[in-house]
Amino acid sequence: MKRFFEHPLFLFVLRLFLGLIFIYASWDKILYPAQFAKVVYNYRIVPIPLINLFALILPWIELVSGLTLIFGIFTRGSALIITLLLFIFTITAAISIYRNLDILCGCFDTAGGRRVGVRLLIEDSSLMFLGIWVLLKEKGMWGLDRLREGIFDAYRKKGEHYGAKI
Amino acid sequence: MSTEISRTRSITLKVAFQVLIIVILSSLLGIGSNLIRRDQISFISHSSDFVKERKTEDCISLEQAKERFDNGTGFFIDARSDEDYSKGHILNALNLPEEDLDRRIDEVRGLIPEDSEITVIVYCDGEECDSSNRLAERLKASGYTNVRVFFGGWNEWVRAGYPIEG
Repeated sequence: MKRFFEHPLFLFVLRLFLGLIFIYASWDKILYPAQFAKVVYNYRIVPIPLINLFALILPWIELVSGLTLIFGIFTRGSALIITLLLFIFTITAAISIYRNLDILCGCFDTAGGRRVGVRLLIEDSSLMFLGIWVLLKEKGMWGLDRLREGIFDAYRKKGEHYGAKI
Repeated sequence: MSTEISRTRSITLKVAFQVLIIVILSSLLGIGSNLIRRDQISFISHSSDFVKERKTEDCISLEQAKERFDNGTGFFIDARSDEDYSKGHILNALNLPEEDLDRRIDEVRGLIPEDSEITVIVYCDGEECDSSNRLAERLKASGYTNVRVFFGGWNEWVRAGYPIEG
C-alpha cells in the first residue's frame, strides 16, 4: 500500500490533479478581477485598501503554481505554494463559518458558486493534505526539473571528462 | 551528519528561491495584465468600491415592509440557510436559499404568481449579507416584476419586535 502511495506515477497523478484544479480555479478570477475583489471583500479578512491588489495577484499565483506543478518546473516550490494557499483557504473557510458569514465561496466562479460551509472546509483541508503529500514525497518524476538537472549533470560529467571545472 | 544538515539547508534555500520566483512572476503578470486590460481596476481599493449596489426603487424600508405585512400585500421570502431559518424568521415567510431557486421555482410560482399585485419581499440577515440581493435579481430574471429587497433584514425586524416564528 505504501509503495502505491509513494509510486512516482501516483505522485504524478496527484500533481496533475492539484495543478488542474488550481488552473481551473484561477481562470474566472483572472477574467473578472473586479468581481473577484467583491468576493474577497465579503470575507472581511484582507484590509480594504489591499483588496484589489490581492484580487489581481492571487489568481495568477494559482495559475502559475498550477502550471509549474503540472510541468514539474520548480516542483517543490509550487507544491509548497499550493499547500500554503490551501491552508489559508481552509482557515478562511473556518473563520467564515465561525463568524456565521452568509457568503458565497467564489472558489471557481466569481459570480459566487456555492455557499461557504462545512463541505468547503472539508474539501480544502483534504486538498491541503494531498499538497503536503506531494511536497514531501515528490521526486520530480516526469517533470522538467529533472530533465534540466539531467542536462546539467551530463554537462558536468563532460566537463570533468575534459578536465575542466564547471 | 553535517552533510545531511547542509543538504537540508540547500533544499530549503532552493524551495524558498522557487517560491519567490513564482510569487514575483505572478505579481508582475497580475499587475501587468491589469495595466493593459480595458476594464482596469485601481490598485488601491476603497470601501466605496464594494458597498452593496442598491437601487432605491428595489429597496423597501422596515416601515414599508411592516405595512405590507399588516395589510397582507407582502409575500416574505427568507434567503438565508435552512439552519438560520429554523432558528427564527419573519412570521409566515417562505425559506428559499438562493441555490434552491432553480429546483423550487414551480413551488414558488404556485405560491405567488409572477405578475401578482402582492410584493415579493426578500430578506437575509441584514446589511452585511448579500443573498437577498442576489435572490431578488434571480427572481426578476425568472419573471417576477414586483420584487423588493428588505435590506434591514432579520436583524432589523427582530429589533423592532415585529412578529416572528421559529
